[in-house]
Amino acid sequence: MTQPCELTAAAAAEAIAAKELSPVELTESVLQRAADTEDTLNAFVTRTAEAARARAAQAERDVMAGRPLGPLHGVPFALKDNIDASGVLTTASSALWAERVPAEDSAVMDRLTAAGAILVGKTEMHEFAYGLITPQTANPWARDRIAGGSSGGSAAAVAVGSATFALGTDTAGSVRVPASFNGLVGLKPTYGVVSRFGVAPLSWSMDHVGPLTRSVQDAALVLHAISGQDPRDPASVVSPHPPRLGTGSGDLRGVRVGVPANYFFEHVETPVADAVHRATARLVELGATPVDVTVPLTTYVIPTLWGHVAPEAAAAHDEHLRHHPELFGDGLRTLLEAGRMITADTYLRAQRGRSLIREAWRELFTTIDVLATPTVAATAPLRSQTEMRWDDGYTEDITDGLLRLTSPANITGLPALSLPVGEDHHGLPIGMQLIGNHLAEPDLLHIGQVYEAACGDEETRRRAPLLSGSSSGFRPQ
Amino acid sequence: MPSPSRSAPGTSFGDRPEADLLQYRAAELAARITSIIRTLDALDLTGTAPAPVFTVTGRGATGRLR
Repeated sequence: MTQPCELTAAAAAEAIAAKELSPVELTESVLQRAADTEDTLNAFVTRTAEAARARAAQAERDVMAGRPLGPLHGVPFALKDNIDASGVLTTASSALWAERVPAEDSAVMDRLTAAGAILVGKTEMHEFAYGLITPQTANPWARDRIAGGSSGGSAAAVAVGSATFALGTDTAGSVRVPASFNGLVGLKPTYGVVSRFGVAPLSWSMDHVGPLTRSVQDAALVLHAISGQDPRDPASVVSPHPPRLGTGSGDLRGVRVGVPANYFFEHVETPVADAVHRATARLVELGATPVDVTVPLTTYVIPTLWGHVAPEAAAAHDEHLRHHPELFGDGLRTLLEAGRMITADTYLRAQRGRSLIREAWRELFTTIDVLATPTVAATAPLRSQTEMRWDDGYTEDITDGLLRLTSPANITGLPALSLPVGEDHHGLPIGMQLIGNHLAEPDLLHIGQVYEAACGDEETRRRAPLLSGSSSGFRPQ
Repeated sequence: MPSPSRSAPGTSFGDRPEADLLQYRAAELAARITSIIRTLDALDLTGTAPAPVFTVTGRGATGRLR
């Protein structure tokens, strides 16, 4: 029997609006799941159980009184711990902010509250979002594997049902990578669509906020709630395209799906490549037209990424480095110090390279509507792994290996959706990434929803791993 | 590669016993990152302007959409 904590956000909101499910019952179920799983997972920095219970009780009264309800009324969610919620400890998983309690809500917290959602806690992350591991948090599918990062706690919480949905941030893949490793949907919107006011910066020109959910429909629902212009974020834009909310009805006739002939399938595990090829074939069966494409300037993706992130992160943390450098972890401190040594001409070289890449991708999207790729080259690596080694002898640092396929969407600012498309022979989830055109979130989410509706749970593998008293999903180790 | 000198400008490791090692690692990492970025030297950047935040959003410096 499905427990309330296993419901998608859309199903829960619908049941609450129909008075078939109480926000109190749903919140208690989610809080209980957190209580059952946290010793094993450590997905949360802070849990806000009492405040959530109070809000759920009020939400129930609102329903019974027939008051107008927001689209996420009574739905419990978690925030990555670099996103401010007023009065709640917000540490960015760093000793530097161990006692920081913001006085003001971030823009996204404000919008989710207005939509009726209920905060159940702040989630663990790679320190200040500068990494793709989240070493504090276990992967719910296999505890000896990484949850991914930097939004690893958000992903683990949604995967097990200790949050119905969560928000993460994505500078080079930090929503999509953990989504892929936890069998979830993750969306990095177009740069500027979601305000970053009240979010700790890592790299101003690459940072995005996005949802981690158990369905594409949920991602659309949450995106609709959190997007919109905000003068407090200088990058803020308003999409001229209306959202398409609802289930994935219809087909994909007229959609041109780019199938990359280079880069995105090089040095990729065979089960991952096979699953993405099968999923792409499914899109074609649903009416899409495949278009073979050569993705331009791929040699320059990693240099351009590092050329921005390293100096921008150092600048963002300049005050911290001057006054309390000892409070950073050694790994992060070394990265930040290295970023300080990047010269201005090197940074500008990366910016000019970015201009060329962005223009080349703009041209690419005159021939396709969406590019279908693996989200990550591999399924979740072992926690002890520091490199990725490939059959031809090529070896790469694990960070570069994890962000190699997601970072182009950060460099170009294009929207990108990761959705589950199967498992490898270890039972670990595989993600497919769909990169869309500038501000084309409605089309991107529609494609994902049609795929999801056609495949159902069996192929998209959306079931939550159960951590206690179950033979399915999680295997204690 | 930059010299792993303790007197390298702008670093914050001087207050720790293992400062030399940490500073060396930072300098080594910076050299690696710079080397990776130098890959961009192969690009013809003639006439190419930088892509700061506003350019990526498709906005001009005044914030207006282009």
